[in-house]
Amino acid sequence: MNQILNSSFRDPSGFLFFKNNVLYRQVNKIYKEDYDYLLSSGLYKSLVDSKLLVSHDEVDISIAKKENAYKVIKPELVPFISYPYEWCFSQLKDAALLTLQIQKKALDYGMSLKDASAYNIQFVNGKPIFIDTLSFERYKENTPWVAYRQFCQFFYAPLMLMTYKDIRLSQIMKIYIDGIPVDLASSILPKRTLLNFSCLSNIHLHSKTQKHYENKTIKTSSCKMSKFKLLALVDNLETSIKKLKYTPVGTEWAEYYEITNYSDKALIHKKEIVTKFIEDIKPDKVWDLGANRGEFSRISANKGIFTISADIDPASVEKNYLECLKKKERNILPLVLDLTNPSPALGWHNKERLTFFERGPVNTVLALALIHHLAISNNLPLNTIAEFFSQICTNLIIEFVPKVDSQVQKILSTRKDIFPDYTLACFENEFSNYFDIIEAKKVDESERVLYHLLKKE
Amino acid sequence: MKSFLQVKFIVIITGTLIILFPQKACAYLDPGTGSFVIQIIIATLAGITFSIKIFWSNIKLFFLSLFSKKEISEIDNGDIVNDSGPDNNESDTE
Repeated sequence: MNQILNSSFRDPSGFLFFKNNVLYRQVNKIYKEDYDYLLSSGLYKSLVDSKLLVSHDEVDISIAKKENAYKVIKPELVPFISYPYEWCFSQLKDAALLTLQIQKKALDYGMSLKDASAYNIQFVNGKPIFIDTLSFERYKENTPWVAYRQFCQFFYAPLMLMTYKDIRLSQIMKIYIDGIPVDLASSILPKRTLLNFSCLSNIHLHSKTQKHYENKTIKTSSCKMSKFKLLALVDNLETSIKKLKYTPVGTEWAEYYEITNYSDKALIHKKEIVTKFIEDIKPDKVWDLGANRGEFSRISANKGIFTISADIDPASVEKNYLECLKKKERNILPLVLDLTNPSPALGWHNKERLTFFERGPVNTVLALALIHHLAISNNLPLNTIAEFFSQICTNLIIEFVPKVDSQVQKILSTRKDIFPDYTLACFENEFSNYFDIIEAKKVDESERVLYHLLKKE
Repeated sequence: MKSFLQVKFIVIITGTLIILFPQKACAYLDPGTGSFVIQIIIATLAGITFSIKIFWSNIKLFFLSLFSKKEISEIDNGDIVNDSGPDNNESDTE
Protein backbone atom coordinates (compact mmCIF):
# COMPACT_ATOMS: atom_id res chain seq x y z
CA MET A 1 0.00 0.00 0.00
CA ASN A 2 1.53 3.30 -1.06
CA GLN A 3 -1.07 6.01 -1.36
CA ILE A 4 -2.43 9.33 -0.14
CA LEU A 5 -5.54 8.96 2.02
CA ASN A 6 -8.66 10.15 0.20
CA SER A 7 -9.93 11.87 3.34
CA SER A 8 -6.88 14.11 3.47
CA PHE A 9 -7.21 16.65 0.68
CA ARG A 10 -9.06 19.60 2.21
CA ASP A 11 -6.28 21.19 4.24
CA PRO A 12 -3.28 22.49 2.22
CA SER A 13 -1.13 22.22 5.37
CA GLY A 14 -0.42 18.57 4.70
CA PHE A 15 -1.88 15.14 4.15
CA LEU A 16 -1.79 11.54 5.33
CA PHE A 17 -0.28 8.78 3.26
CA PHE A 18 0.69 5.14 3.57
CA LYS A 19 4.12 3.86 2.65
CA ASN A 20 4.89 0.17 3.06
CA ASN A 21 1.74 -0.14 5.18
CA VAL A 22 2.94 2.53 7.63
CA LEU A 23 0.87 5.69 8.09
CA TYR A 24 2.69 9.03 7.75
CA ARG A 25 1.62 12.65 7.63
CA GLN A 26 3.42 15.07 5.33
CA VAL A 27 3.68 18.62 6.66
CA ASN A 28 3.85 21.03 3.73
CA LYS A 29 6.14 24.06 3.58
CA ILE A 30 3.08 26.34 3.70
CA TYR A 31 2.47 25.13 7.28
CA LYS A 32 6.12 25.50 8.41
CA GLU A 33 5.66 28.54 10.69
CA ASP A 34 2.58 27.11 12.44
CA TYR A 35 4.12 23.66 12.83
CA ASP A 36 7.30 25.08 14.34
CA TYR A 37 5.27 27.28 16.68
CA LEU A 38 3.09 24.33 17.76
CA LEU A 39 6.23 22.55 18.94
CA SER A 40 8.31 25.51 20.19
CA SER A 41 5.43 27.08 22.15
CA GLY A 42 5.05 23.93 24.25
CA LEU A 43 1.43 23.46 23.12
CA TYR A 44 2.17 20.13 21.42
CA LYS A 45 3.89 18.75 24.53
CA SER A 46 1.15 20.01 26.81
CA LEU A 47 -1.61 18.44 24.68
CA VAL A 48 0.23 15.14 24.26
CA ASP A 49 1.12 14.95 27.96
CA SER A 50 -2.54 15.52 28.77
CA LYS A 51 -3.52 12.80 26.26
CA LEU A 52 -5.62 15.28 24.30
CA LEU A 53 -3.65 15.00 21.04
CA VAL A 54 -2.04 11.98 19.38
CA SER A 55 1.74 12.00 19.60
CA HIS A 56 4.01 11.71 16.59
CA ASP A 57 7.64 11.13 15.67
CA GLU A 58 9.45 13.10 13.00
CA VAL A 59 10.95 10.77 10.41
CA ASP A 60 13.34 11.13 7.47
CA ILE A 61 11.96 13.66 4.98
CA SER A 62 13.17 11.54 2.08
CA ILE A 63 9.99 9.46 2.26
CA ALA A 64 7.83 12.53 1.53
CA LYS A 65 5.22 12.04 -1.17
CA LYS A 66 5.40 15.51 -2.70
CA GLU A 67 8.08 18.14 -3.26
CA ASN A 68 6.56 20.80 -1.05
CA ALA A 69 7.29 18.81 2.11
CA TYR A 70 8.66 20.54 5.18
CA LYS A 71 8.52 17.53 7.50
CA VAL A 72 7.19 13.99 7.54
CA ILE A 73 5.75 12.73 10.81
CA LYS A 74 4.62 9.30 11.91
CA PRO A 75 1.52 9.68 14.10
CA GLU A 76 0.46 7.34 16.88
CA LEU A 77 -2.01 4.84 15.41
CA VAL A 78 -5.69 4.71 16.25
CA PRO A 79 -7.07 1.15 16.54
CA PHE A 80 -10.27 1.90 14.61
CA ILE A 81 -11.41 5.03 12.78
CA SER A 82 -15.02 5.76 13.75
CA TYR A 83 -17.24 8.55 12.45
CA PRO A 84 -19.54 10.95 14.33
CA TYR A 85 -22.73 9.35 13.00
CA GLU A 86 -21.56 6.13 14.65
CA TRP A 87 -21.23 7.75 18.07
CA CYS A 88 -23.82 7.82 20.81
CA PHE A 89 -24.91 11.06 22.49
CA SER A 90 -22.24 11.10 25.19
CA GLN A 91 -19.47 10.24 22.76
CA LEU A 92 -20.41 13.25 20.61
CA LYS A 93 -20.73 15.41 23.72
CA ASP A 94 -17.30 14.33 24.98
CA ALA A 95 -15.81 14.97 21.54
CA ALA A 96 -17.34 18.47 21.55
CA LEU A 97 -15.99 19.24 25.01
CA LEU A 98 -12.56 17.95 24.02
CA THR A 99 -12.53 20.28 21.01
CA LEU A 100 -13.38 23.25 23.25
CA GLN A 101 -10.81 22.21 25.86
CA ILE A 102 -8.15 22.06 23.15
CA GLN A 103 -9.21 25.45 21.79
CA LYS A 104 -8.86 26.99 25.27
CA LYS A 105 -5.45 25.45 25.73
CA ALA A 106 -4.38 26.51 22.25
CA LEU A 107 -5.37 30.11 23.03
CA ASP A 108 -3.29 29.92 26.22
CA TYR A 109 -0.28 29.17 24.05
CA GLY A 110 -1.04 31.77 21.38
CA MET A 111 -2.62 29.38 18.89
CA SER A 112 -6.16 28.60 17.76
CA LEU A 113 -7.96 25.71 16.07
CA LYS A 114 -8.44 26.50 12.39
CA ASP A 115 -11.01 23.76 12.02
CA ALA A 116 -13.38 21.96 14.35
CA SER A 117 -14.38 18.89 12.42
CA ALA A 118 -15.73 15.95 14.40
CA TYR A 119 -13.67 13.73 12.08
CA ASN A 120 -10.59 15.11 13.86
CA ILE A 121 -11.62 13.23 17.00
CA GLN A 122 -11.21 9.52 17.57
CA PHE A 123 -11.69 7.24 20.57
CA VAL A 124 -8.54 5.64 21.94
CA ASN A 125 -8.32 3.77 25.24
CA GLY A 126 -11.92 4.64 26.01
CA LYS A 127 -11.48 8.39 25.64
CA PRO A 128 -11.71 10.91 22.82
CA ILE A 129 -8.45 12.24 21.42
CA PHE A 130 -7.62 14.85 18.76
CA ILE A 131 -5.84 13.32 15.77
CA ASP A 132 -5.14 16.22 13.40
CA THR A 133 -1.75 17.70 14.32
CA LEU A 134 -2.08 20.29 11.54
CA SER A 135 -5.30 21.90 12.82
CA PHE A 136 -3.51 24.61 14.81
CA GLU A 137 -2.60 28.07 13.58
CA ARG A 138 -1.00 31.00 15.36
CA TYR A 139 -3.70 33.16 16.92
CA LYS A 140 -4.10 36.57 15.30
CA GLU A 141 -5.22 39.24 17.75
CA ASN A 142 -8.80 40.45 17.44
CA THR A 143 -9.90 37.79 15.00
CA PRO A 144 -13.04 35.69 15.47
CA TRP A 145 -12.82 31.90 15.59
CA VAL A 146 -12.74 30.70 11.98
CA ALA A 147 -13.95 27.26 13.05
CA TYR A 148 -17.01 28.51 14.96
CA ARG A 149 -19.47 27.66 12.17
CA GLN A 150 -17.93 24.24 11.75
CA PHE A 151 -18.11 23.61 15.49
CA CYS A 152 -21.82 24.46 15.48
CA GLN A 153 -22.45 22.18 12.51
CA PHE A 154 -20.46 19.22 13.77
CA PHE A 155 -21.22 19.36 17.47
CA TYR A 156 -23.66 21.99 18.70
CA ALA A 157 -26.46 21.42 16.17
CA PRO A 158 -26.48 17.59 16.37
CA LEU A 159 -26.30 17.64 20.17
CA MET A 160 -29.22 20.08 20.35
CA LEU A 161 -31.25 17.96 17.90
CA MET A 162 -30.49 14.79 19.85
CA THR A 163 -31.41 16.43 23.14
CA TYR A 164 -34.48 18.44 22.22
CA LYS A 165 -35.94 16.51 19.27
CA ASP A 166 -34.86 12.91 18.72
CA ILE A 167 -31.77 10.93 19.63
CA ARG A 168 -31.69 9.40 16.13
CA LEU A 169 -31.11 12.75 14.41
CA SER A 170 -27.32 12.37 14.65
CA GLN A 171 -27.78 10.27 11.52
CA ILE A 172 -28.32 13.48 9.51
CA MET A 173 -24.53 13.77 9.61
CA LYS A 174 -24.45 10.96 7.06
CA ILE A 175 -26.07 13.35 4.59
CA TYR A 176 -23.98 16.44 5.37
CA ILE A 177 -20.26 15.71 5.22
CA ASP A 178 -19.43 19.06 6.86
CA GLY A 179 -21.91 18.78 9.72
CA ILE A 180 -25.59 19.66 10.07
CA PRO A 181 -26.36 23.13 8.63
CA VAL A 182 -27.62 25.45 11.38
CA ASP A 183 -30.62 26.55 9.32
CA LEU A 184 -31.74 22.92 9.07
CA ALA A 185 -31.24 22.44 12.81
CA SER A 186 -33.16 25.67 13.45
CA SER A 187 -36.10 24.47 11.37
CA ILE A 188 -36.27 21.08 13.11
CA LEU A 189 -35.74 22.17 16.72
CA PRO A 190 -38.89 22.76 18.76
CA LYS A 191 -40.04 26.32 19.55
CA ARG A 192 -39.16 25.94 23.23
CA THR A 193 -35.46 26.08 22.30
CA LEU A 194 -36.01 29.77 21.50
CA LEU A 195 -36.15 30.26 25.27
CA ASN A 196 -32.70 28.78 25.73
CA PHE A 197 -30.23 31.65 25.28
CA SER A 198 -27.38 29.50 24.01
CA CYS A 199 -29.54 27.57 21.53
CA LEU A 200 -31.34 30.75 20.49
CA SER A 201 -28.10 32.49 19.66
CA ASN A 202 -25.88 29.64 18.39
CA ILE A 203 -28.59 28.02 16.25
CA HIS A 204 -31.65 30.18 15.58
CA LEU A 205 -30.05 33.64 15.36
CA HIS A 206 -26.98 32.10 13.78
CA SER A 207 -29.22 30.72 11.05
CA LYS A 208 -30.98 34.09 10.57
CA THR A 209 -27.67 35.93 10.40
CA GLN A 210 -26.31 33.47 7.85
CA LYS A 211 -29.41 34.03 5.75
CA HIS A 212 -29.07 37.80 6.08
CA TYR A 213 -25.45 37.79 4.92
CA GLU A 214 -26.01 35.28 2.14
CA ASN A 215 -24.63 36.73 -1.09
CA LYS A 216 -23.41 39.82 0.76
CA THR A 217 -19.82 40.86 1.33
CA ILE A 218 -18.38 42.70 4.30
CA LYS A 219 -15.01 44.10 5.22
CA THR A 220 -12.87 41.49 6.89
CA SER A 221 -11.53 44.22 9.14
CA SER A 222 -15.06 44.81 10.44
CA CYS A 223 -15.05 41.41 12.10
CA LYS A 224 -12.99 42.08 15.21
CA MET A 225 -13.22 40.16 18.42
CA SER A 226 -10.90 40.30 21.40
CA LYS A 227 -9.28 37.20 22.86
CA PHE A 228 -11.35 37.68 26.01
CA LYS A 229 -14.55 37.56 23.97
CA LEU A 230 -13.30 34.50 22.14
CA LEU A 231 -12.71 32.79 25.48
CA ALA A 232 -16.19 33.92 26.56
CA LEU A 233 -17.67 32.36 23.40
CA VAL A 234 -15.87 29.08 24.09
CA ASP A 235 -17.03 29.21 27.72
CA ASN A 236 -20.61 29.84 26.57
CA LEU A 237 -20.53 26.81 24.25
CA GLU A 238 -18.87 24.67 26.90
CA THR A 239 -21.34 25.60 29.64
CA SER A 240 -24.28 24.99 27.33
CA ILE A 241 -23.01 21.60 26.13
CA LYS A 242 -22.12 20.41 29.63
CA LYS A 243 -25.74 20.96 30.67
CA LEU A 244 -27.12 18.70 27.92
CA LYS A 245 -28.47 15.40 29.21
CA TYR A 246 -29.86 12.30 27.56
CA THR A 247 -31.42 9.49 29.56
CA PRO A 248 -31.14 6.25 27.58
CA VAL A 249 -34.45 4.59 28.43
CA GLY A 250 -37.58 3.49 26.66
CA THR A 251 -36.19 1.64 23.68
CA GLU A 252 -36.78 -2.08 23.29
CA TRP A 253 -33.10 -2.95 23.19
CA ALA A 254 -31.88 -0.78 26.04
CA GLU A 255 -33.91 -3.00 28.38
CA TYR A 256 -33.13 -6.20 26.46
CA TYR A 257 -31.31 -7.97 29.27
CA GLU A 258 -34.18 -7.28 31.64
CA ILE A 259 -36.82 -8.72 29.31
CA THR A 260 -34.87 -11.55 27.73
CA ASN A 261 -36.00 -15.15 28.07
CA TYR A 262 -32.66 -16.46 29.31
CA SER A 263 -32.47 -18.31 32.58
CA ASP A 264 -29.53 -17.38 34.75
CA LYS A 265 -27.97 -20.75 34.04
CA ALA A 266 -28.33 -20.30 30.26
CA LEU A 267 -26.72 -16.86 30.41
CA ILE A 268 -23.79 -18.16 32.47
CA HIS A 269 -23.34 -21.13 30.16
CA LYS A 270 -23.49 -18.92 27.07
CA LYS A 271 -20.76 -16.70 28.56
CA GLU A 272 -18.63 -19.76 29.30
CA ILE A 273 -18.93 -21.00 25.72
CA VAL A 274 -18.09 -17.59 24.23
CA THR A 275 -15.12 -17.29 26.62
CA LYS A 276 -13.82 -20.70 25.52
CA PHE A 277 -14.17 -19.85 21.84
CA ILE A 278 -12.35 -16.54 22.34
CA GLU A 279 -9.58 -18.31 24.27
CA ASP A 280 -9.25 -20.87 21.47
CA ILE A 281 -9.05 -18.22 18.75
CA LYS A 282 -6.85 -15.67 20.62
CA PRO A 283 -7.85 -12.82 18.27
CA ASP A 284 -6.12 -9.43 18.16
CA LYS A 285 -9.41 -7.61 17.47
CA VAL A 286 -13.08 -8.51 17.87
CA TRP A 287 -16.21 -6.94 16.44
CA ASP A 288 -19.34 -7.72 18.44
CA LEU A 289 -22.21 -7.00 16.05
CA GLY A 290 -25.62 -6.58 17.64
CA ALA A 291 -23.84 -6.12 20.95
CA ASN A 292 -26.69 -4.40 22.81
CA ARG A 293 -25.05 -3.00 25.98
CA GLY A 294 -21.85 -4.96 25.37
CA GLU A 295 -22.20 -7.69 27.99
CA PHE A 296 -20.48 -10.24 25.73
CA SER A 297 -18.07 -7.67 24.22
CA ARG A 298 -16.53 -7.46 27.68
CA ILE A 299 -15.47 -11.10 27.53
CA SER A 300 -12.87 -10.24 24.89
CA ALA A 301 -12.26 -6.64 26.05
CA ASN A 302 -11.44 -7.83 29.57
CA LYS A 303 -8.78 -10.08 28.07
CA GLY A 304 -7.05 -6.99 26.63
CA ILE A 305 -8.47 -7.54 23.12
CA PHE A 306 -9.63 -4.39 21.32
CA THR A 307 -13.37 -4.91 20.82
CA ILE A 308 -15.89 -2.92 18.84
CA SER A 309 -19.29 -3.22 20.45
CA ALA A 310 -21.79 -2.17 17.79
CA ASP A 311 -25.55 -1.97 18.00
CA ILE A 312 -28.42 -0.36 16.09
CA ASP A 313 -29.96 1.17 19.21
CA PRO A 314 -28.48 4.54 20.32
CA ALA A 315 -29.86 4.05 23.85
CA SER A 316 -28.06 0.72 24.27
CA VAL A 317 -24.84 2.20 22.88
CA GLU A 318 -25.19 5.14 25.27
CA LYS A 319 -25.52 2.74 28.23
CA ASN A 320 -22.56 0.77 26.96
CA TYR A 321 -20.38 3.91 26.66
CA LEU A 322 -21.40 5.19 30.10
CA GLU A 323 -20.42 1.83 31.57
CA CYS A 324 -17.04 2.06 29.79
CA LEU A 325 -16.51 5.47 31.37
CA LYS A 326 -17.64 4.30 34.79
CA LYS A 327 -15.35 1.27 34.77
CA LYS A 328 -12.54 3.09 32.92
CA GLU A 329 -12.53 0.36 30.27
CA ARG A 330 -9.84 0.92 27.64
CA ASN A 331 -10.38 -1.90 25.15
CA ILE A 332 -13.98 -1.44 24.16
CA LEU A 333 -15.43 0.96 21.60
CA PRO A 334 -19.25 1.16 21.56
CA LEU A 335 -20.66 2.32 18.21
CA VAL A 336 -24.08 2.84 16.66
CA LEU A 337 -24.43 0.61 13.60
CA ASP A 338 -27.46 -0.65 11.70
CA LEU A 339 -26.17 -3.91 10.29
CA THR A 340 -28.93 -4.00 7.68
CA ASN A 341 -27.96 -0.52 6.48
CA PRO A 342 -24.37 0.02 7.63
CA SER A 343 -22.32 3.22 7.36
CA PRO A 344 -21.83 3.92 3.65
CA ALA A 345 -18.91 5.43 1.74
CA LEU A 346 -19.31 9.21 1.81
CA GLY A 347 -17.86 12.46 0.52
CA TRP A 348 -15.95 13.31 -2.61
CA HIS A 349 -15.78 10.40 -5.06
CA ASN A 350 -17.42 8.34 -2.28
CA LYS A 351 -13.92 7.93 -0.88
CA GLU A 352 -13.57 10.50 1.93
CA ARG A 353 -15.30 8.35 4.53
CA LEU A 354 -15.10 4.60 4.30
CA THR A 355 -17.90 2.12 4.73
CA PHE A 356 -17.92 0.38 8.09
CA PHE A 357 -16.61 -2.86 6.61
CA GLU A 358 -13.88 -1.20 4.53
CA ARG A 359 -12.38 -0.38 7.92
CA GLY A 360 -11.95 -4.11 8.50
CA PRO A 361 -11.47 -6.95 8.02
CA VAL A 362 -11.33 -8.23 11.56
CA ASN A 363 -10.10 -11.53 12.88
CA THR A 364 -13.18 -12.43 14.91
CA VAL A 365 -16.82 -11.43 14.77
CA LEU A 366 -19.36 -12.15 17.50
CA ALA A 367 -22.91 -12.48 16.17
CA LEU A 368 -24.93 -13.45 19.24
CA ALA A 369 -28.72 -13.42 19.25
CA LEU A 370 -28.54 -11.70 15.89
CA ILE A 371 -29.33 -14.15 13.11
CA HIS A 372 -33.10 -14.22 13.66
CA HIS A 373 -33.21 -10.43 13.29
CA LEU A 374 -31.35 -10.65 9.99
CA ALA A 375 -33.13 -13.72 8.61
CA ILE A 376 -36.67 -13.14 9.86
CA SER A 377 -37.09 -9.45 10.72
CA ASN A 378 -35.12 -8.40 7.65
CA ASN A 379 -36.00 -11.32 5.29
CA LEU A 380 -32.35 -12.05 4.51
CA PRO A 381 -31.71 -15.54 3.10
CA LEU A 382 -29.27 -17.61 5.19
CA ASN A 383 -26.81 -18.01 2.30
CA THR A 384 -26.58 -14.21 1.96
CA ILE A 385 -25.88 -13.88 5.67
CA ALA A 386 -23.19 -16.57 5.51
CA GLU A 387 -21.54 -14.90 2.51
CA PHE A 388 -21.59 -11.52 4.27
CA PHE A 389 -19.83 -12.82 7.39
CA SER A 390 -17.25 -14.67 5.29
CA GLN A 391 -16.29 -11.32 3.73
CA ILE A 392 -15.68 -9.49 6.99
CA CYS A 393 -13.95 -12.00 9.29
CA THR A 394 -11.89 -15.16 9.59
CA ASN A 395 -13.44 -16.55 12.77
CA LEU A 396 -17.14 -16.28 13.44
CA ILE A 397 -18.77 -16.97 16.78
CA ILE A 398 -22.45 -17.13 15.92
CA GLU A 399 -25.55 -18.15 17.81
CA PHE A 400 -28.38 -19.93 16.04
CA VAL A 401 -31.73 -19.00 17.55
CA PRO A 402 -34.35 -21.58 16.46
CA LYS A 403 -37.99 -20.87 15.67
CA VAL A 404 -39.14 -22.40 18.95
CA ASP A 405 -37.27 -19.70 20.87
CA SER A 406 -39.63 -17.16 22.42
CA GLN A 407 -37.73 -14.25 20.83
CA VAL A 408 -38.34 -15.69 17.36
CA GLN A 409 -41.94 -16.50 18.25
CA LYS A 410 -42.38 -12.87 19.25
CA ILE A 411 -41.12 -11.68 15.86
CA LEU A 412 -43.34 -14.19 14.04
CA SER A 413 -46.41 -13.37 16.11
CA THR A 414 -47.22 -10.34 13.96
CA ARG A 415 -46.33 -11.74 10.56
CA LYS A 416 -46.75 -14.76 8.34
CA ASP A 417 -44.05 -17.42 8.65
CA ILE A 418 -42.51 -17.42 5.18
CA PHE A 419 -39.25 -18.91 6.38
CA PRO A 420 -39.43 -22.70 5.91
CA ASP A 421 -35.65 -22.82 5.47
CA TYR A 422 -34.93 -21.19 8.81
CA THR A 423 -33.78 -24.41 10.49
CA LEU A 424 -30.63 -25.59 12.19
CA ALA A 425 -29.90 -27.99 9.32
CA CYS A 426 -30.25 -25.27 6.67
CA PHE A 427 -28.16 -22.91 8.77
CA GLU A 428 -25.31 -25.42 9.01
CA ASN A 429 -25.62 -26.28 5.34
CA GLU A 430 -25.49 -22.66 4.13
CA PHE A 431 -22.68 -21.59 6.46
CA SER A 432 -20.68 -24.71 5.52
CA ASN A 433 -20.31 -23.26 2.02
CA TYR A 434 -18.09 -20.53 3.46
CA PHE A 435 -16.92 -21.81 6.87
CA ASP A 436 -15.70 -24.95 8.58
CA ILE A 437 -17.53 -25.78 11.78
CA ILE A 438 -14.81 -25.95 14.42
CA GLU A 439 -17.15 -26.44 17.35
CA ALA A 440 -20.87 -26.29 18.13
CA LYS A 441 -22.31 -26.18 21.63
CA LYS A 442 -25.92 -26.11 22.75
CA VAL A 443 -26.65 -23.57 25.46
CA ASP A 444 -28.02 -25.17 28.66
CA GLU A 445 -31.72 -24.63 29.40
CA SER A 446 -32.19 -23.24 25.90
CA GLU A 447 -32.65 -24.45 22.34
CA ARG A 448 -29.98 -22.10 21.09
CA VAL A 449 -26.66 -23.35 19.65
CA LEU A 450 -23.35 -21.49 19.59
CA TYR A 451 -20.88 -22.12 16.79
CA HIS A 452 -17.22 -21.37 16.31
CA LEU A 453 -16.79 -21.19 12.53
CA LEU A 454 -13.53 -20.77 10.64
CA LYS A 455 -13.52 -19.29 7.16
CA LYS A 456 -12.55 -21.75 4.45
CA GLU A 457 -9.25 -21.18 2.65
CA MET B 1 -40.17 37.26 31.43
CA LYS B 2 -36.43 36.86 31.72
CA SER B 3 -36.32 34.94 28.45
CA PHE B 4 -38.46 37.55 26.70
CA LEU B 5 -36.00 40.27 27.78
CA GLN B 6 -33.11 38.16 26.54
CA VAL B 7 -34.76 37.80 23.13
CA LYS B 8 -35.53 41.51 22.96
CA PHE B 9 -31.96 42.39 23.92
CA ILE B 10 -30.48 40.10 21.28
CA VAL B 11 -32.82 41.33 18.57
CA ILE B 12 -31.84 44.95 19.31
CA ILE B 13 -28.13 44.13 19.26
CA THR B 14 -28.46 42.08 16.09
CA GLY B 15 -30.27 44.93 14.38
CA THR B 16 -27.66 47.44 15.52
CA LEU B 17 -24.77 45.34 14.28
CA ILE B 18 -26.44 44.63 10.96
CA ILE B 19 -26.70 48.38 10.44
CA LEU B 20 -23.12 48.95 11.63
CA PHE B 21 -21.54 46.40 9.31
CA PRO B 22 -21.27 47.74 5.76
CA GLN B 23 -22.74 45.29 3.30
CA LYS B 24 -20.66 46.20 0.30
CA ALA B 25 -16.96 45.91 0.68
CA CYS B 26 -13.67 45.17 -0.97
CA ALA B 27 -13.03 41.81 0.69
CA TYR B 28 -15.18 38.78 0.46
CA LEU B 29 -15.63 36.26 3.25
CA ASP B 30 -16.92 32.80 2.49
CA PRO B 31 -20.48 31.76 3.45
CA GLY B 32 -19.27 31.91 7.01
CA THR B 33 -19.81 35.69 6.99
CA GLY B 34 -23.02 35.42 8.99
CA SER B 35 -21.27 33.03 11.37
CA PHE B 36 -18.51 35.59 11.92
CA VAL B 37 -21.04 38.31 12.71
CA ILE B 38 -23.20 36.24 15.05
CA GLN B 39 -20.23 34.92 17.00
CA ILE B 40 -19.12 38.50 17.71
CA ILE B 41 -22.60 39.25 19.06
CA ILE B 42 -22.72 36.10 21.14
CA ALA B 43 -19.17 36.61 22.38
CA THR B 44 -20.01 40.18 23.40
CA LEU B 45 -23.01 39.04 25.43
CA ALA B 46 -21.24 35.98 26.77
CA GLY B 47 -18.34 38.24 27.74
CA ILE B 48 -20.57 39.90 30.32
CA THR B 49 -21.46 36.65 32.07
CA PHE B 50 -17.89 35.41 31.64
CA SER B 51 -16.59 38.52 33.42
CA ILE B 52 -19.04 37.93 36.27
CA LYS B 53 -18.02 34.28 36.48
CA ILE B 54 -14.34 35.19 36.72
CA PHE B 55 -15.10 37.95 39.24
CA TRP B 56 -17.01 35.56 41.52
CA SER B 57 -14.47 32.81 41.18
CA ASN B 58 -11.75 35.26 42.19
CA ILE B 59 -13.81 36.40 45.20
CA LYS B 60 -14.36 32.75 46.14
CA LEU B 61 -10.66 32.07 45.69
CA PHE B 62 -9.75 35.02 47.88
CA PHE B 63 -11.99 33.91 50.77
CA LEU B 64 -10.94 30.30 50.46
CA SER B 65 -7.31 31.36 50.50
CA LEU B 66 -7.95 32.79 53.94
CA PHE B 67 -8.95 29.36 55.25
CA SER B 68 -7.37 26.51 53.36
CA LYS B 69 -4.48 26.03 50.98
CA LYS B 70 -5.91 22.69 49.88
CA GLU B 71 -9.21 24.13 48.71
CA ILE B 72 -7.39 26.74 46.66
CA SER B 73 -5.60 24.06 44.71
CA GLU B 74 -8.98 22.38 44.05
CA ILE B 75 -10.41 25.59 42.64
CA ASP B 76 -7.21 26.17 40.71
CA ASN B 77 -7.98 23.03 38.75
CA GLY B 78 -11.44 24.35 37.84
CA ASP B 79 -12.54 25.63 34.47
CA ILE B 80 -12.42 29.36 34.90
CA VAL B 81 -9.18 30.03 36.63
CA ASN B 82 -7.39 27.07 35.18
CA ASP B 83 -4.58 28.52 33.11
CA SER B 84 -2.11 25.87 32.16
CA GLY B 85 -0.43 28.18 29.72
CA PRO B 86 3.23 28.31 28.77
CA ASP B 87 4.28 29.55 32.19
CA ASN B 88 2.39 26.86 34.01
CA ASN B 89 3.93 23.44 33.65
CA GLU B 90 1.17 21.59 35.45
CA SER B 91 -0.59 19.13 33.23
CA ASP B 92 -4.36 18.99 33.46
CA THR B 93 -4.65 15.31 32.77
CA GLU B 94 -8.12 13.97 33.46
